[in-house]
Amino acid sequence: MGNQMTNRRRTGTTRPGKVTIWLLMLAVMIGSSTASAELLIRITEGADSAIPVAVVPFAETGEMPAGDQISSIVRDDLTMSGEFRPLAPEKMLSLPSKGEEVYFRDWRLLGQRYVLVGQLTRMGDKIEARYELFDVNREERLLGATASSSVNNTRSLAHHISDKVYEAITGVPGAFSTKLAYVTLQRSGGESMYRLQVSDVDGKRARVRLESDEPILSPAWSPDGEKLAYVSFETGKPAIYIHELSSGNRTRVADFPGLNSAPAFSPDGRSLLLTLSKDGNAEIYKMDIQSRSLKRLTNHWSIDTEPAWDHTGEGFFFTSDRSGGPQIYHKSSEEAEPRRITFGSRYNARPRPDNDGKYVYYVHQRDKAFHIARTNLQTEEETILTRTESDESPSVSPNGRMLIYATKQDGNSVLTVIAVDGGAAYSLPASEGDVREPAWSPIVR
Amino acid sequence: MATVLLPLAFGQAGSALAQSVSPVFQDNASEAERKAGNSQANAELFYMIQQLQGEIRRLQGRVEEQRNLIDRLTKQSRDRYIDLDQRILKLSEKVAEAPAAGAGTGDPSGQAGESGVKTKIYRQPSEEERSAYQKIQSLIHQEKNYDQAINGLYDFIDKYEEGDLTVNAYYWLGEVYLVENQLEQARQAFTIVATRYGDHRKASDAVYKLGVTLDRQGNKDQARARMETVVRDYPNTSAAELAKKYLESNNG
Repeated sequence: MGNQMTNRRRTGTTRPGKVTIWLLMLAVMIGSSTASAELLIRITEGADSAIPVAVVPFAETGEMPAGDQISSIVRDDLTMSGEFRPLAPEKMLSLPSKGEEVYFRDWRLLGQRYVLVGQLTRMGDKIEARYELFDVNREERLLGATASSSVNNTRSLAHHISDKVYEAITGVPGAFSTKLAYVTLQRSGGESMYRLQVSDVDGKRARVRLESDEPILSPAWSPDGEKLAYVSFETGKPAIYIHELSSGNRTRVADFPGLNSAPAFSPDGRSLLLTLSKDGNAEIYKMDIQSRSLKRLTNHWSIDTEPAWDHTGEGFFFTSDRSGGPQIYHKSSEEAEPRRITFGSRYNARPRPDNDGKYVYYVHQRDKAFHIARTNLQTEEETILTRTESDESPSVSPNGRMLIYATKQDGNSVLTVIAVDGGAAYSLPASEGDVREPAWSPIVR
Repeated sequence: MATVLLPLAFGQAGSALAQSVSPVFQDNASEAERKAGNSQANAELFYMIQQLQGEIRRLQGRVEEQRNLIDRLTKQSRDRYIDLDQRILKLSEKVAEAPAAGAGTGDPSGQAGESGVKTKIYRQPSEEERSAYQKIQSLIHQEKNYDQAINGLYDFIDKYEEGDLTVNAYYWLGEVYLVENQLEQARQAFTIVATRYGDHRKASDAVYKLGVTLDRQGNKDQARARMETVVRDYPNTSAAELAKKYLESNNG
């Protein structure tokens, strides 16, 4: 209590706040987290059908932290989604910061459909944002809300506002506050360094969670967004770990003879699907995380691997070569007969379903090139989504609107994000080395 | 012998090693020969299993693809049927309109004008109405979900009054009740079309089906009377032909 009092009294002076101390501790724990390779965003394509929206620079009261302005982060988020075309602030005729100051005819003149205005106020070690969103044509307020964050966390505040704006306009929750997990590989001399990192969806605030000179593969998020499961070769052979992000605690959960690969959390977070070859060849097992008991879910002398739960949490998708080449199969329950999903070509692998059971995304080979494709599970219609040629590891955003995958660009592995309905794309090349194995976190409320 | 030794060295390195260490005697040699034969059989078996696995993979793939093809064909033929049904419906509407137009110009050879009941043109359905009607038609013909179709028909009749398709809806209500063997309800539905919309293009069919319903209810006299009405009032229709057949077969 006394500590809090002094904190309050000393507000405004430079001091290590609680968050910074926590950050420092974390940095000490992880050791070399300063070496984090930040992803650089590069927008490669915009959509023609994007909605024009004006995000007016927010009015500021009190001392603001250094770094990007909240309104410009919101603008970048909306651009990234591919569904919006924010107006450059220098083209704005006026800079209102609250509803009464918005003259709709000005914005109509500029061809804008929506206007976002807001004010930021410094309150101790917090920043409070009041923001309002207007529909220009209907001259109607769609949104009016207040949100706040600590001074050090204004990027989260900005992403939160982007989420709300996105949802108010499209009706679909925004996914800007979610995280990406991915693995970077840096080679220098004969040495390779693998780093498991977690960043914001725009590639910012990347932090190294694990460093190893042996491969790290297949990161998978727990449904609460607090843990990652992955495969690490740090002991010289593959083993599956569960890594608690806040504490940095790691548990080795699977270390069987042979293959230990492709972990996937169940929607209730209680079990993992894994591929193990302990009984001879690669089969899919379910592990109860608490008791570590295993249940074998596939039984075939061909390779069954890359499991992913479907949205019901009852069934799962997986890859099997039981018909010659790899194809995607679905079991509607643990006991059901597997049903083949993909027929478009001889190679379809690494299934990743969306959250509402509409589509399954996967790697699809056509004419020697590997693309990301999706199949509509109702109509069985297959669509190829990418034009690049060595695409791998698809992961769908939790709102089902965007897709991230790894591909090659100028000889390096980069991550590319696209809008699933076409149009927008941006890539996240690591400032050095390769980046691959992306995994999009769930939306955490 | 080389062919025998190769799988021996390959498959059972352990025993081959033991063989070379221990001195070779007569019975040991025969033992070795037996083992060599065994391991050759093993190798052949292994090769055969591999071959069978490959074959099963191919067959599995083919079965899956064919199942998928059958599923797609089934769906396609259903879609085509719906499409065809729609086109026939449109065509029959046009046919129904044509004689009425012919009578309008005073053409004395206009068949509809000569005898029986003239066909009247009813209010044409809107797009929305048409699609609601199609939905019910597919409930009846494709899904065979009669209960839901009956609900749909009642809703349709409530919502779209006195239109061309409204009369059709009454008629189909009768048909569905007839299938469900709810004869009294079927009789009522057909009666509505027969009496209230006697000038609709569905009327001839409705009167005929009313006859059929009455026949099934055991009311032969009434049934005959309806059939005669069809023949008299709606000559040159397929319903009249069917009614004639009924009358002929129920004469004795």
